[in-house]
Amino acid sequence: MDLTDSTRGKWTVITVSGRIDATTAPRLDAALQDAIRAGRMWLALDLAGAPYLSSAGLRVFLSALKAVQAGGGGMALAGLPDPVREVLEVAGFLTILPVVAGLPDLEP
Amino acid sequence: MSIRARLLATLIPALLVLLGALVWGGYAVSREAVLAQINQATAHLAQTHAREFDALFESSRSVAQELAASAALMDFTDPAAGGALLAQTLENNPALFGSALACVPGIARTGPLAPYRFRTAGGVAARDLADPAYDYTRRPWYTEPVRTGAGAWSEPYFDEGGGDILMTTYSHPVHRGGSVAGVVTVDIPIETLVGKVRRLTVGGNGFAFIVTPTGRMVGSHRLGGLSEGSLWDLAGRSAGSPWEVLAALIRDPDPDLRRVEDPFRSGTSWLVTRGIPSAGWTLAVLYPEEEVLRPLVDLRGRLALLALLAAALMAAAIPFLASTFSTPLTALVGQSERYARGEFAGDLEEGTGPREIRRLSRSFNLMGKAIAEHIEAVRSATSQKERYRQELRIASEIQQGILPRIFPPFPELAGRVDLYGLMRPAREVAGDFFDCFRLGGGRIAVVVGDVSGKGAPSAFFMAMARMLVRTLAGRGLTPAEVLRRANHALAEDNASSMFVTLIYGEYDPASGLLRLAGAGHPPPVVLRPDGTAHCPAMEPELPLAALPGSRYHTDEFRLAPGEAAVFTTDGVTEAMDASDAMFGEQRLLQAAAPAAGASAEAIAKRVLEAVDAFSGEREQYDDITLLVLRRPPGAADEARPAGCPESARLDLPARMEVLPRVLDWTRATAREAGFDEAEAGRIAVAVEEVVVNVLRHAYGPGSEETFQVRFISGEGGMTVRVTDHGRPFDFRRERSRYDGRASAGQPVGGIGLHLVHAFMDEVNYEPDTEEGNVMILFKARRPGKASG
Repeated sequence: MDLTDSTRGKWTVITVSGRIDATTAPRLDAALQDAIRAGRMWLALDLAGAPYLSSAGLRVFLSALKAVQAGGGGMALAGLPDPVREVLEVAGFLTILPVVAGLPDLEP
Repeated sequence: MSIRARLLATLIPALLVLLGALVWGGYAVSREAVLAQINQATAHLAQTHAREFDALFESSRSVAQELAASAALMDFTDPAAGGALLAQTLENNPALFGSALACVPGIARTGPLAPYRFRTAGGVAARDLADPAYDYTRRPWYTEPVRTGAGAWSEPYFDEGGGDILMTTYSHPVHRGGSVAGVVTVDIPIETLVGKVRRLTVGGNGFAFIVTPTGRMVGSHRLGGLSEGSLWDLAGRSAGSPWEVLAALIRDPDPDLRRVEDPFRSGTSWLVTRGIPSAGWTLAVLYPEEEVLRPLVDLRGRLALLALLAAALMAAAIPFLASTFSTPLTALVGQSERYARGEFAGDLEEGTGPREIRRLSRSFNLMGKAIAEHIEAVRSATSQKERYRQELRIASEIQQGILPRIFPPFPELAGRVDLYGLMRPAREVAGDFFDCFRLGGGRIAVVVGDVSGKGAPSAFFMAMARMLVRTLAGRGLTPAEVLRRANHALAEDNASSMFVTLIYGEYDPASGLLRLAGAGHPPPVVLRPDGTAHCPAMEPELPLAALPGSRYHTDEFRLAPGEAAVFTTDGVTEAMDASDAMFGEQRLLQAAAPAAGASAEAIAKRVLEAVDAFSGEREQYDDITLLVLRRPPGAADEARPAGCPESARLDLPARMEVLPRVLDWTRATAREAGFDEAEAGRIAVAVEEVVVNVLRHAYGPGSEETFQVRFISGEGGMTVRVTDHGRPFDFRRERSRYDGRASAGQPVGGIGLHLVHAFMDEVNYEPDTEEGNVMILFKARRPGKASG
């Protein structure tokens, strides 16, 4: 799994390429927590290149969401492949995580 | 004859006889009493009157004697003096009619002299009886005393020329100087006597009369004063006549009433007689019987009338009385006829009528109810029996339907598997069954079972057990696990306490591997081609449904080409002969031996023949089941065809680094097994969650242990087994931790297991098995749903 950072308006966009599984999720978690510690409270995850997501990733999403909400920011997911969307949906995460089709759709 | 007619015919005559007896009895008793009383009364009356007559005669006689005495002392030849004396006498004695003083002729100077004084309407008249026309010297009243020198009463006579009336006269001699100088008389008129007897008359028709010594009768109307002739003459003239009877009775003094045929009239009278001693006469009173008994006859008539009235009343009452019996009886008859027709509805009136009838009605109603209930019970029993038969038929059909009928069952495995099964029920519905079906990867499953009990419930139980085994098999569970889960399901809700002994085997024709798990069932006999046989040792286990939580073992061995496994039920080994000896395992081995090398069907039939020969005439006691699984002699171990992995297995160190490999391999295997990309991805997520769970919970970090992941591809889908050897976890608790609703405000546990259940069709956890803790995931293959 590869991670790249970029900025889009107020959003810090982290682009994920590769599976988010129990072995890779800690790295994603570390990246998110770094950003939050850096005061970047608007985090967007571009998952278009992530074909796989397990509960390990969900936990990472959830802890990041808690942190940014506590810091007055927000979190969004963009470009969800079908399997990932399905996992989020089955786990009930679509009700708490805003999802957009692509990065241009992020709220300014 | 109706009750009314019978009552009438019986009661009315009886009543009449009774009343008649009362009337006549009363009459007879009363008659005696009345007669006794009449007797007393008339006797008294007659006595009184007889005394009165006696007194009259006696006093008249005294007067005559005194007159005679007086005449003796005077010159009675002086007509004037004599006449005065006579007149004096009449004056003093009003009962006398006349009195005479007759001188014996010669005594008086004047010749015959007989002054006579008698009463007339104008007073006392005088007459001289010395009248030659009268000539008293020839009259009996004169001649008798002169002749006898004593006084006497004359017979009644009509004193023509004298008193000119009917009279009786007492004449008494007048003695002077030792001779009779004259006769004095006193006359009593018959009229006086008649008057007296008339007064004496008893009742309306009673008749009294006086009988003189010569039989002359003095009486009133019937005699006209004085009878013409003598009673004695009348009696003497006609022998056997009433007169004779009467005369005899009058002559025979008897103070009692006597019954006579009354000669004065037609009829019977009662006679009482009394003597009048002074005159030698007899007073007789005839009392007409009908008059004496008239009150009695009247009474009798009244009683008879009353009796008739009573009989009439009873005759009128009987129909009413009869109706009180016959009306309810008619109702009872009607009711019993209705019963006879099979109509039991409707009750008789129980509230009215005589008590016995009410009780009878009540009994009738109870009987009707009882019969109706009985009929209903019989009907219900019959229909229950019918239902039971129907049930048995259904059960039999179910059970027969369960059994494979077509052999060989798997034509595509011809030459690789030789399978034959038979089941012969002891009764309509057997408790035995066997089954065979395909598993994935060209393997087959065989089942032989024996359900406790017989009949419909057993058949259903059997069907359930068979279905459970069929459902559980082929999902990657070992035979022991199949039985464990089947037992769990059967034991969980086993209200009827039934159980089933069962042996379950999975056979791979390619390798000859036979994996067996038994639940209280005998192991198969393995028959080698050379005729030897052996019985593989298997751990004895509990039957299915006997106890929840039972565990089972999987034993495996390989069938060499030509070898056959003979599965039986205890109906074979426990078949008995006439002496209660059992067929037993040894005989089974011996029986099978000659068929070694023959087909499965030949072996099965050979064993069955041996059992039949052993049992002889004895009735088959239990169902007999034989299933023979034979590896044909020509079958050789063969390579598995490509793309049809029997199973793939990974032995992995318990470290997180292995996860990407597992996921890749999972995805590839799933794709190979025919799942599309999306399904393969879902299976991968599930496998990751399970593996991560094992790594985190079973071992903890830094463990040197290993765990296994095994994929089994079957016809229905794919099974993934993840086996660890660490701590088991609480599957149920973990399963219920996450409900599928995420929340940013709270920590999440159990999401992984939630995803596993969402993505897999079946999730089973078998902690603490021989292999270890096994998580078994099954994903069904859905041909129509290739995307996802």
